[in-house]
Amino acid sequence: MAVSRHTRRMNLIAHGVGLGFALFSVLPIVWLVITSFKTEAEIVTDTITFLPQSLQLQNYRDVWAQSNYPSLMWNSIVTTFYTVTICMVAGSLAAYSFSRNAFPLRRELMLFYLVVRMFPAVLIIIPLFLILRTVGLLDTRFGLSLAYASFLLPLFVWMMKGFFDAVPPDLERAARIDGCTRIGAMVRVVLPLVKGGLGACAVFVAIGAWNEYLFALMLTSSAGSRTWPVGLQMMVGEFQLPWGLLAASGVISILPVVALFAIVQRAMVRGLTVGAIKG
Amino acid sequence: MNALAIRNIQKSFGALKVLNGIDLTLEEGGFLVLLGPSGCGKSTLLSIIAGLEDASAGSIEIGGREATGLHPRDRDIAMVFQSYALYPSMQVERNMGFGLEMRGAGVDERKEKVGAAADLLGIGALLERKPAQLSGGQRQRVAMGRAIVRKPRLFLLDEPLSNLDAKLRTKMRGEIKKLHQSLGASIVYVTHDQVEAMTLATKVAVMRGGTIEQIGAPMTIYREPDNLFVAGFIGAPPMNFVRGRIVEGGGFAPDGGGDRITMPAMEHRLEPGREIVLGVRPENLRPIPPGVSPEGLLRFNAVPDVIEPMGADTMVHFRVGQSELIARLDGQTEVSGSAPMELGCEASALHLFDATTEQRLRPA
Amino acid sequence: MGVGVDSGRRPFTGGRLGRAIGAMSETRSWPFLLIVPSLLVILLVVLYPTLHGISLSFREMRLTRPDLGTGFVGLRHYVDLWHDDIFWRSLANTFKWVTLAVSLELAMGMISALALNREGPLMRICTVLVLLPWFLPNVVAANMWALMLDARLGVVNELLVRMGLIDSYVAWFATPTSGLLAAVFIEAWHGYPFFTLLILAGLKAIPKDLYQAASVDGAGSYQAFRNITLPMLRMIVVTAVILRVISLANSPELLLILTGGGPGDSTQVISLYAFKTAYESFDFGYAGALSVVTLLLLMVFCVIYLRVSRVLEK
Ligand SMILES: Nc1ncnc2c1ncn2[C@@H]1O[C@H](COP(=O)(O)OP(=O)(O)OP(=O)(O)O)[C@@H](O)[C@H]1O
Ligand SMILES: [Mg+2]
Repeated sequence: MAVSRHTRRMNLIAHGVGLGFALFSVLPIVWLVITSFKTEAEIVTDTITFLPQSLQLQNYRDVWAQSNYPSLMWNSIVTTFYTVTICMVAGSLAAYSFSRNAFPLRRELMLFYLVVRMFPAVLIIIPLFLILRTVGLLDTRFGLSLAYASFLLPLFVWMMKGFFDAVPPDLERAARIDGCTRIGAMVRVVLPLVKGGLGACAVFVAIGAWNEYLFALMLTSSAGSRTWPVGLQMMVGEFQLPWGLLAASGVISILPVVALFAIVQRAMVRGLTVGAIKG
Repeated sequence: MNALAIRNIQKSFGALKVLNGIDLTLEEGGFLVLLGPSGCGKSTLLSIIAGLEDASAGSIEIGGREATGLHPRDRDIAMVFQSYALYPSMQVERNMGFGLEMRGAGVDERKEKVGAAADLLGIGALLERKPAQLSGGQRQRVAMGRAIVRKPRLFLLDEPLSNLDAKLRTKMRGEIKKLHQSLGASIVYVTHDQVEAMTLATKVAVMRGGTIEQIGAPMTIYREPDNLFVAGFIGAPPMNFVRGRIVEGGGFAPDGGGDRITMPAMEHRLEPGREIVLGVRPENLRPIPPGVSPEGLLRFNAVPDVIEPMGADTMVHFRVGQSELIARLDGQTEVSGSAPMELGCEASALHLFDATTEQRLRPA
Repeated sequence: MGVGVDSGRRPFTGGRLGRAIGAMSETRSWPFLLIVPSLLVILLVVLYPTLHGISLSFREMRLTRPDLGTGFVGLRHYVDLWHDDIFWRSLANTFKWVTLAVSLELAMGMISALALNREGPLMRICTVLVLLPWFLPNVVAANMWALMLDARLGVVNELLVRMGLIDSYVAWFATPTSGLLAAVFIEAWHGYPFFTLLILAGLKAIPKDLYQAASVDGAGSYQAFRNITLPMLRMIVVTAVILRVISLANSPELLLILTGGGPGDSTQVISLYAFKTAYESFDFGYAGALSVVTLLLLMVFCVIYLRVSRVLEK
């Protein structure tokens, strides 16, 4: 049959193309991992070797022992934790309200939560710098996480609203008749049902905060609050680059991202799409 | 004492008026069915009774106690939702006992009461399951069970059977009737299925567009519908209507031509020229053997269009003027297509409505 | 024993505070109360800073020159901007940068999504892998590619030479044109999964029977794509393009790390220029003016783009 042969050929091509894109996406990351296991001599060479001669862990040891990377990571962890907490508390409540209530100006408010994404980062960074300096939160992890909330909280609200929308409102009505208050119905009946979505949104926000560079560069300056992206970039000197060290730091830093993404990717992809399509 | 008394309840969503002044009462142990087409405000009314929505105006008394403005928790009611609204994250046992839990009942008390309710409904074996692991009928039972565990004063049921297949629906209908009798509870039941209304209710309120068109015992509503809408809504297949006018000599001329119909002697005073609607229930029509002309019958000359033998009954479709009519005849009746026949209806089973007001004409 | 024990006589309500919140949740203002925390945060860290930033663009504010004060200077920054060659070059670069990157990402996203829109575990795994770059931090992505494109050590050069596509190693970031193109390429690698994700979701939402009906009518796969897929995807593509344009125009992160604007200002975009003005020269007033211009241009873009693509009318 002509049609089915045509379809099969299309299918084959599609698989080829899909696989091609997957490789295109992943191979650079693989190269980063490979590089991190090479010695400096193997990297800085005239004849490139594709695989390391032996699995060198020296770069990782150096990152761990000889740089301030652990403390940079710790700062990032704390900042990320603050950011996720702010988003989870403030964002879930707002998303729930948007999902459940028809009140005046609801549409306009939600639109406003979207529009704030249009404001240039620099336009926000400068006054934030001044504000944080005034209230004494400049160069602190909490101040940085507040800044992160400026672009992550609106996203969180939109994504989370999609998950709340999927829960039938009759459940809260039933819970209220069973004796719950409104907040009780939300906590006891609705939240358990959006656990997956909440986790995905939290991971999304966590990744965003973990990866951020620009705000961190501007709003932190001391070792006590500097996050790893800024620290990593500071390793990039003017002339001789410590490629092995950089690669190892990079691998360590993206490990949590990849792990978290792998765990919640399905729910997160759904949430992202819902948020983005509706927005 | 009344289990429920509602006075002048009104409700608007923004500019949309959904309920325009509802008044009704339900006596203790009664079974009130709210019946009406989709969107007429039945669920809204139920939500207001439950306290899930606030009425724009009016007041509610439950069990002789003012309930307007009370939290749903404090109204001593239970509700069964069309979607069942079982908590997906909880096992059946916790689902059923959740209301008790929220009221501070201890584990033992909960176990005992849930167990008793489960036995009554035959779902004792399902207590460990999550709602997702239940069939539609089982979910329905759990939802009923959750309502009866607390032994509330008033049950509110919003189309509890509409998600079941026809067979299960008939079965559950019987069970609800039995439950009502054994619990002696007062029930408000929303449906747009008039069979459910007829079989279950002690009292039916037929609603349309946010108002109650008629309220009364099911058989009263069946026998003496107040207006065209109620007459057409109750009964399956629905009542036949023929529009036309009274002519000199007491006859009836259907709109759009067709044979003039001789009206039986009636107590109504119908002056010639008056436009009316003639209503005849399909089950009130019966064949008149050729050559016989009994007195006191309204008679149609019918040429069957479609004949539907259904076993016990045979449905015969025919036309009078512009109207299509259905007769529900005994399954034994010999009917052959295209052979003219005469169908008659007792004068007492005839319904007359004013063509413009659509209200029932009562004997003067 | 505390109140929170499930077996207790009273249900868990979180103590007195919990009951107070519970009572609050029954009031009419509850929907607004829920929004208050997030609204406060957003007003505080977004709206107020933005308005403040706009007002700064009309004032003098140089942290390195406190002697100048912070007085109102009217439109002076905007006038300066008009006569600033770097600004005009940045504007042109921004235009090139955003257009090239978004077109490339859209094309790659569309093709990959069409390919990945099949059943089966292989394509599911591929989808996850394709999405991976998007979650990579700019810092890692930029430095990783800097190494791979390095003029002496770069594996890309090695591969291209082995394939016979170039004769000898190329210093990609040495000339303005190749520098910009290399940056666009890296941005595309980093950003195309966003389009894949959204378009894939859009494709999955198209009812299958539309295609069956079309094939019964004798439409080939290209016609089906033209007449069914593209129209159904329009809303999503427009949304994705807008979001992407906004973030590309607003965030200088990748270029800041990768090129710092070079070589020879060829990747100096407005957002980067603004950031450097703020971060290196601490001239907050001028940086504010640059950002306000970005914001205005973006707003104009959104309005025109929505009008041209006519998605809102339907
Ligand atoms: N929250 C709301 N906001 C606006 N309009 C509403 C709302 N809830 C219900 N309505 C409208 O009120 C009317 C009555 O709705 P209701 O749900 O009470 O109808 P119903 O009789 O239960 O119908 P059905 O048989 O389909 O369940 C409908 O027109 C509906 O659109
Ligand atoms: Mg309803």
